[in-house]
Amino acid sequence: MNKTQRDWLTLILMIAGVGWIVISRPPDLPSVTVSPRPGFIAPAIALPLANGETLALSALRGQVVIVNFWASWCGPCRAEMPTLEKIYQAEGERGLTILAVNSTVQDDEGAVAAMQREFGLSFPIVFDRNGETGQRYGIRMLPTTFIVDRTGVIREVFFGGPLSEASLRSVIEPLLGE
Amino acid sequence: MLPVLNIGPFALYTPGLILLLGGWLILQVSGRAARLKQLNGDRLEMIIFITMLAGVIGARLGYALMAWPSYVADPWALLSRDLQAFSPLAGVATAIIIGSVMLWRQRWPLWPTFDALTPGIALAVLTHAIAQLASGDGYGLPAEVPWAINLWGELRHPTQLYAALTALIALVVWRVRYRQSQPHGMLFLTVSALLAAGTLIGEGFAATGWLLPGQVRGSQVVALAILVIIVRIWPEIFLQHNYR
Repeated sequence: MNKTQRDWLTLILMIAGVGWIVISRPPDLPSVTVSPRPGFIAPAIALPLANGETLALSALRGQVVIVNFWASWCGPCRAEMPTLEKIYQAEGERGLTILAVNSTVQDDEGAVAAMQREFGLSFPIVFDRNGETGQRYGIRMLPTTFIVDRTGVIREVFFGGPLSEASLRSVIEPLLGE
Repeated sequence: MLPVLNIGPFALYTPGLILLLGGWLILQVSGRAARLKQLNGDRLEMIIFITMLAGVIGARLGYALMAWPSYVADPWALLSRDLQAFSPLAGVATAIIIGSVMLWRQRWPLWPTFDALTPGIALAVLTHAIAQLASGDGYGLPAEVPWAINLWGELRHPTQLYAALTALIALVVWRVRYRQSQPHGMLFLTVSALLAAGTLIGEGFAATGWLLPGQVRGSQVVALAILVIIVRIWPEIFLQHNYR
């Protein structure tokens, strides 16, 4: 291949490549699909609190929500509870809330109440008694934490724990500013 | 999609397992490829191991740098077990820099070393694609093609499989050609061109990824740049071969 041929090949490659890059740009459309993963609308949650009232995730629209699936016997879940409480207390006024979904199907409500007292947890805890919500979110590991933005779209999923405050803040800070 | 694998009472993060297995395979294959090139395979394996380790550390530091106020307030979080608190881009950049510096300081011959690293590079792309398939990341745009896969109630391009297929083709080409007599660097450039072309085309159907201004995918721009560089330097290597 001589220099001219090489120059032509480069030119053709660049035109075709740039053309394809421009043509194949992803559409800038808001997410409309419901799925338990980043970039998608968070599946519905409507579960009872300890007092019998039902709390729905949709009622928290407009706030940044940390949806935390947990159980009282799970070590990492217990370990991250003080961090969650600290963030809830510190950032509540900026529009952050926490929805702690207890996997009651594999837990005991008495143990949950004891843990709530032990750690002084003030954020809402709802009970997934039949495991349906956990199934909808594809929970296979506890804790699993979903960060939902003000429009109801999941922006990050953390598998396992305990989560550090820094990791949580690195995700929620930009969302609180939106 | 299987982000978490349950084995008895244990819940394992599948993409992490795949990356570990891929890392081990890359070490093994690169060592063997180096010995075929009359290079020190054991030493190259050690360099790649250190490079990978540096990549992991770089990925965590890069993530922390992007959210530095949080990590300044809580430096111990750098050592946390958060599996998502890594910046892949920072990790790859750190690994490339550390690996390059080590190879340069130890005076490894450029093109034969690249040839020895070739199967490892293709395996790295394959590992990344399979890990993304397991985690559900890197999914494609909605599609109506016959090979579209149903993800979350919607038919989508299987972009992770496109990337895996590209890497497999590159590995087959490497396997067919690695014993053939050819100029040093030719195998590396051939496989790199295949991977870049596959990325340029396949990423065009991806719904996720690093976006530049104007909704342009960063991965496609990098792939095109690599292809152009290869076209430009290819004849130089041929000339070098003819001269010899």
